[in-house]
Amino acid sequence: MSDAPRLNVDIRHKVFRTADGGRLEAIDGVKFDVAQSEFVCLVGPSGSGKTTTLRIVLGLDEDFDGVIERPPGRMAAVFQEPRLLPWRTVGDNIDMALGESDGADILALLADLGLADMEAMYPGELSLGMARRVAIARAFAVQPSLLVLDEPFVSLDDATAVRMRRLLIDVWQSRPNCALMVTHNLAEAVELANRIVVISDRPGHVRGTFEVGLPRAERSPDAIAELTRELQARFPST
Amino acid sequence: MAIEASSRFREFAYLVGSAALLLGVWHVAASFADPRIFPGPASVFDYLWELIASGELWQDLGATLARVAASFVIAMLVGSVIGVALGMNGGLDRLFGPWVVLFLNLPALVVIVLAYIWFGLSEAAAIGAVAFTKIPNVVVTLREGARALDPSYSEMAAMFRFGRWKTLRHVIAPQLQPYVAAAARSGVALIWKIVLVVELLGRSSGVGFQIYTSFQFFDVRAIIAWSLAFVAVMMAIELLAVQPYERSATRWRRSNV
Repeated sequence: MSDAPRLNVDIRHKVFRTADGGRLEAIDGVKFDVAQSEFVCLVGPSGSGKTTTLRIVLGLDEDFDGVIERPPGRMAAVFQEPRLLPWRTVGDNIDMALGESDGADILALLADLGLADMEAMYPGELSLGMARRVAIARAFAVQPSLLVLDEPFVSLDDATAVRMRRLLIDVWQSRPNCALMVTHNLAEAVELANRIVVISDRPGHVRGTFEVGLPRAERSPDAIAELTRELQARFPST
Repeated sequence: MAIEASSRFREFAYLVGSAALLLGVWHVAASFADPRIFPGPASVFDYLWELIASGELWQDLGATLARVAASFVIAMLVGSVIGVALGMNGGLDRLFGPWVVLFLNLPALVVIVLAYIWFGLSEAAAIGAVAFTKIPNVVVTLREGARALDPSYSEMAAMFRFGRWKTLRHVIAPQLQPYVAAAARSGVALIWKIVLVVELLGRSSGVGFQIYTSFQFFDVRAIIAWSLAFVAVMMAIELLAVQPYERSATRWRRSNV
């Protein structure tokens, strides 16, 4: 267990300095790990430091007290906003992330995500759902050992979100890695995750973890609703 | 397609009409004035034709354009580097921001006179002085551009290991492009006017020198002919180089249908 590549997160403290010189304690003890081929969801109320945790995991914020051990290999992220370069085509956006050496099968990946024949389009020509799928394609294209997703399905209509979750999990299951996703949607977490880490109100700390034992193939809408109720019962006011 | 072609034709017709109207007004006004003080279009174009035929026009126009090009390139390069540096580094900006304001308000004439006194009546002094007067404008525009850079793209680039060169070329440069275009556009307009002044004060070639000579002979016809030739060249550069470049650089914006 200790030898397998995994993500170990141990953030003891994270403090923001506010504009008027005050201190805002964002995180007070967030510790969890993500094993290879494990999909972990981080849930908690807004302001609980979920996105801050992701930024620290990604190395975008290095001003914190604690330790992050990342699995060897590349990281990739799908941010809330797709963050595609609007002045480059879909194909160029993915190619640029790739670099020279990586050789994932881009065409198969694009086809899996329903993006075939869209390489020549500019991001401004895409709907939000399509742009998010491109961002997901870009993340998987680099064959990351660590995949981080920050609420990738917010502000999509329900039908699109349902389709996108299914797409994500299909693509991920055929290319598994350490996956860490932030969401405030408990049903979404129950549908996707192997394990759910529940974070408290600010300053964020881990309230506990919830194992979703049910295989993904058996997670029917009813089963998801049942598990969500169970999760809410164990962690009231989440 | 047909609608676009006909609207383009209409635009062209208006342009021709506008030019014809200007020539007509000029012709009528000149017919009431002393031709030595205010010559009409026919006389001016005769003189312009003589300049073209003798080859004199190309020589001086060429000298002026070379100076415009050299000062423009220097001002854009130096100004962009300083502007982006100030825009990205608040401490640097607080320290040197006041210098920028000072140089922005320094009259071009002062810079030119001092450059000629300190560095002699040389080509380098002339080009350097013109570039120097333009640099603060470029700095201010590009500083604004650097401040407006979206950090979320830089984070994305860092995350996907773009590296320095790729980030500069594909992430930073496209965001600065509208600011570079704005600086370039106002730059050309400012520089070609100032180049005439440095030529007038200390060069023995170029359109500015020719206008100065014509002024000494009170040759209004020559002054107008030289100005027309120069304006025509600058408009051609705008139409044939600046506008097509802007259209191609903003291709991705118009795809937003």
